[in-house]
Amino acid sequence: MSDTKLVAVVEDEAAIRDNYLAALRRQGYRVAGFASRREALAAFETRFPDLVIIDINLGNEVEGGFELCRDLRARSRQLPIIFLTARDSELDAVSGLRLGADDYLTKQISIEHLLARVATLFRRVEALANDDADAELLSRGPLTLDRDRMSCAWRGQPVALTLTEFWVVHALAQRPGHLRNREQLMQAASTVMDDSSVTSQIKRIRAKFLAVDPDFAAIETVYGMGYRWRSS
Amino acid sequence: MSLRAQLLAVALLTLVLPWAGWRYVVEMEGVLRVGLEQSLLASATTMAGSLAALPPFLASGGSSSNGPDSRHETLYAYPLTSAPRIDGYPTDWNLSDAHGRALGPRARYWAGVHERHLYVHIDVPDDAIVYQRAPTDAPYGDRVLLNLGGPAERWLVINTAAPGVVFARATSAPQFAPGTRFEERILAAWVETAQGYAVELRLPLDLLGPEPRFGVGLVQVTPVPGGYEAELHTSWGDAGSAPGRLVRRTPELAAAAAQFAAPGRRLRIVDRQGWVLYDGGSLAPAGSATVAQRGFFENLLRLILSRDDAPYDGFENPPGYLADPELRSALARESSTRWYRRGADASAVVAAAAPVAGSGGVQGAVLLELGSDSILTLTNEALVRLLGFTLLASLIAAAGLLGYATLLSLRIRRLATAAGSALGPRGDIRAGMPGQRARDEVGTLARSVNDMLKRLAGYTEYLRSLKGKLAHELRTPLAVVSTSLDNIEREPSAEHLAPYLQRIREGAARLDALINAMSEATAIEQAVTDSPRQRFDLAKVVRSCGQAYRDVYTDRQFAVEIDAGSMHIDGSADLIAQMLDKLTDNAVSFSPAGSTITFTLHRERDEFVLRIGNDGPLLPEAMRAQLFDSLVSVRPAGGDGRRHLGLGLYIVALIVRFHGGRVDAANRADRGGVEFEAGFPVPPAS
Repeated sequence: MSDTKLVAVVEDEAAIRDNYLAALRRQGYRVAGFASRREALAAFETRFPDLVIIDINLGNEVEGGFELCRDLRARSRQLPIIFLTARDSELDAVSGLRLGADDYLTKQISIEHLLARVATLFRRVEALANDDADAELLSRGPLTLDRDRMSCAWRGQPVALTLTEFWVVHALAQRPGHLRNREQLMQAASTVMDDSSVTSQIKRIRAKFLAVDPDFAAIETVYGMGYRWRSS
Repeated sequence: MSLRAQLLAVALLTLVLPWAGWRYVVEMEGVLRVGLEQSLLASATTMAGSLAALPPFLASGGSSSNGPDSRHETLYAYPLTSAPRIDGYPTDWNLSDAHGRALGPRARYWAGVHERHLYVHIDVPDDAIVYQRAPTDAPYGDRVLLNLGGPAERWLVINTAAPGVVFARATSAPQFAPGTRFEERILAAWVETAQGYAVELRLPLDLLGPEPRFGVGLVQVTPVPGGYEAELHTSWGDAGSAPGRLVRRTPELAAAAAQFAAPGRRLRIVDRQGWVLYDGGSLAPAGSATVAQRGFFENLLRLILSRDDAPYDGFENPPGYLADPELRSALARESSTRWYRRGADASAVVAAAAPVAGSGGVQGAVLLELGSDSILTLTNEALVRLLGFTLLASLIAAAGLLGYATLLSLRIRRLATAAGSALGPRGDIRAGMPGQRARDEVGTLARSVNDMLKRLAGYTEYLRSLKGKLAHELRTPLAVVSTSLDNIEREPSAEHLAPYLQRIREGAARLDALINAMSEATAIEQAVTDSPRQRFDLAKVVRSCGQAYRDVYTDRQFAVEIDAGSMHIDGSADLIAQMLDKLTDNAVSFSPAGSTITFTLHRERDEFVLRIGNDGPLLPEAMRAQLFDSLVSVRPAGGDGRRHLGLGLYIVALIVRFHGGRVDAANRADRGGVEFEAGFPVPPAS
């Protein structure tokens, strides 16, 4: 396996696909573009990619991306998968993430952001592979964030966060007690979201923490302003 | 005219039932009348038939063998209730002046029968009574003559020399000189009266034979200078001819007729001239009750059944003589009937007359009368019941129709109300018309209105989801543009294109903002349907937000005024915060820099009222109603380049509605700005 990573883009819109491919190629990745799920799966038989960017709506298959994600996740637990889609509904995002995608991005984000996300995911994979002991850890009471592995733990129990969620938690926990408004959180997560998306992100994050600790109350809402991390 | 009024009017048609009842009663009465007439006539005919064969009938003077007589010649002897004393005074006669008949110009006579005797009373006014002073004293004084009829003329004369008991002697025309033979069976008394004299006499009927003829006469002697003048007057006219028949009521006929007696019926038998030979039975006494005394239905019935029966005009004149037309007709061999009214209450009487015809022609007639009050009673009962039933039927029909109309108009009104309120204030459509299961036309109407509303709701839903779909569909081509731009910017050769690329970038950014706004609205719509409700303190959220806006919008003043205490409502604090964001964003973008934006939150009766005011330009009055609709913006064109899609206030309305509240925008009373008012109902204390 060569050093250059293979990034596969499964996107039925040729123009967007080619743009992404061009950008990724410029970044030094090897790229492969596919218009449909079938096409992608066929190609992955011979050459399994290192990262996959999937659109949910693939030609005739309205939810082809979800299915592809499920197939790929079945084959590899480590393969980073990013959903990049025009569908921005809460439901779609939750569905995508539940299927094991590492990130869920809308097509609004710039190529810069996309490339940053791709790089971050690769870094996490590497970190996991290297099993680096002196990982960049951030500890805030019961919370432990590993910036290299992009992993999060609460009271020793892992909390599965997406990239966006990870960075939101990171941004809050970095300076406990300090108010973070929505824009700051969006910047931290390197994403463009509307206010309600931030709200639902927070809601999801809380839900995930509450799943491992019913008494979780570290994220405080300050209405009209933003959120802050309560250290105690 | 409401449906109910219309159907009530239709119900009035059932009043035709009482009318039909009235017609029925009238018809029935007519039939009953005819039936009564016929049965009465049949009875009369039967009686006449059996009477014709009876000898007693003939004995009473019904014979026609002596040829025609004028009724004036006939001497009718009235039945006397008791035997008068022969004393010259008529005080013990049960007859009145009316029973008397003329004898000459001034004198009158009365004739009566009691048992086997004929009584005659003659009253003669005479200024100068002439007595026969001596047996040869011509011309024998004032005399009373009796003609006993029969094959040989038998004249008797009564004269006297002084008042007292007098005797009848045989005599003869034309001198009527008293003969020598006395008729001892005749008893007579002569008295002087104030006007003249009177003679009362009694003679046995046996003197007269089986077909009696009898007449009375008078020789009036008047002294004149040098002698006397005598005038002759008879009860039958020509003194030279036979006297008229003696007609009387015989006990034999009474016995024969008594078998026909029936209560409520009056039977009269007359001879061929119309003289009453028998009068038995009586009509039921005519009701003397006045209108007020009678029952309502009886009065109504009398009104309904009032017929133009002629009042009775056939009184006996003279007494004992009948000239009723039906009787006249019967005497001319033609049975007939007649209705007439009698009495104070004009009750109807039916009379039937049938001829009594023997071998010798018509000998008399039977007149049978019956009061028809029995019909009235019968029809009264029928009418009362019929009217009762038909009125009841009418009432039931009217009540039924009224009830049905009420039901129908209620259904239609419910449908109308439902149709009127199907379109909610925010364009939301509630189908579900009432009464769709009904199989009638109203049900059809409800179903078709419901279908229409469903289709409309579908269309509205489509329009509502359009922006979500549109956002999604636009995002892909926009992504094509922006990713292409990203790529171009990395091309070193594109330096000189930078200004154009910048413009494209700006355009794409605006498009992006629009799409974001649209998808945000969709997201909120979704959030509104998904959000769990929790109780939270509205005051705290507003206070917190107000605080935050001071930091965010540094070029505006914020005046926050909130009632003390907590104001808990059920809903989502996050959504309320978003609503405040939108309202504040709106207020900030309209108001001039440095101006004050006011927040007030009070409890007013049953709701918490939040008001956010700004000094921005006034709202056009016409747009107020649509202000909170999707894709409506009243911002002046041109501006800061931010999105102007009119979704902000739509989101506000969505969130307020989610909390069961209301929102409105109005120009401030001082015309200095605009105020948004949102009311949230105070939840019941938990």
